Amino acid sequence: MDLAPTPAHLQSSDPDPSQPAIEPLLARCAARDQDAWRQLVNRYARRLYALAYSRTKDPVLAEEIAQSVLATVATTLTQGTYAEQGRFEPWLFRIAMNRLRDHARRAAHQRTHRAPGDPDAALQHLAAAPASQPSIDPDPKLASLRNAVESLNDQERELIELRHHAGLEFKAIAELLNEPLGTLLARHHRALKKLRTILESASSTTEANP
Amino acid sequence: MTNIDPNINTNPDPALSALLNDLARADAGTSRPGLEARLFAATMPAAEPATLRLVSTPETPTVRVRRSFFTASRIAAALLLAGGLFALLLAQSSSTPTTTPSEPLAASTVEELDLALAIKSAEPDNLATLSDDLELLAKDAESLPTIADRDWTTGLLSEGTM
Repeated sequence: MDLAPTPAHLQSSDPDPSQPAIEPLLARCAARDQDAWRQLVNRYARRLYALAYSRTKDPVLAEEIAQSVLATVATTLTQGTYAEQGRFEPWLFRIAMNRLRDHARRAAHQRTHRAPGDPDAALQHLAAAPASQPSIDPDPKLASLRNAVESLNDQERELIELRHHAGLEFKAIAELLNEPLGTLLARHHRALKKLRTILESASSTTEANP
Repeated sequence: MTNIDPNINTNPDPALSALLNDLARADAGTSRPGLEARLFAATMPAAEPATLRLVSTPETPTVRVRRSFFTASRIAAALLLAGGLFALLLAQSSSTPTTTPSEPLAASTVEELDLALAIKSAEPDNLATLSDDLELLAKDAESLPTIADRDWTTGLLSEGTM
């Protein structure tokens, strides 16, 4: 069963080797312990950034979203309004997903309501639109995979990103999305099969038309 | 803990999962160096909650709103509205045709007078006068034959003598 802990591929650059349990760490953060807060940021910053970048394709925006999420967590913890019930990660990444949805909504709104010929609107559009990414994936396999992931439907893409970019366990994803675990596992299975089909189709097309 | 069907293969394509992990790692690596340090500095809980700001977000200029101006404007607008309504009411009241109560009053007075006269005419005084008249008429009628006889003979005698 693949209910693995946080994948090593997304650990922060300055990981805490001892990886203390989350409950006492959160309690220390609530008491404004800066060392505890540093550990918490080191544990989740890269995962939040990767998730945000996967959606926005904009490093600055992704960092701002990660920062906004952590600021919300810091405020909630220090105000004493967070009650730890073993669901910190679902809560943390739910905040992140809500921020990303808000961003997507704003970007869509700006694209829809911009006036033609308005230079400010054009600049906003450039800022809101995801940058084209021909150069960020030097590996053609990764470029094909990114295109394939983007062709999934919203639910499947969200699940893939929460699992691989955010590095969440399926159980945490089930709590985050408030869906049965079995449903998510089946959806993940289906999404992987779909990705495999898309990738094979793309590679056969490339071979046919080099 | 939710039980998972052991027959479900949660990782049906390990190669693809590994490739997805590579993609996630590539995305995570797009940040400028020092991501964690920047985020820590920007979000560190401090004594004052005001320090929990987005560092990379440019400071937005503060727009001071003159509240007194808006209050004065609201009062002026309210006064104008009230004045307009008052003028409208005044204009309506002056243009509405007033009903003269003298005409129906006069009409009702005439009717009342007629009724009073009718009642007056039906009073017992008038009845008594009427009966006196009838008695007088009856007396005249009784005396009428004797007077006629006397005048008739008196007339013949006077003609015969002519």
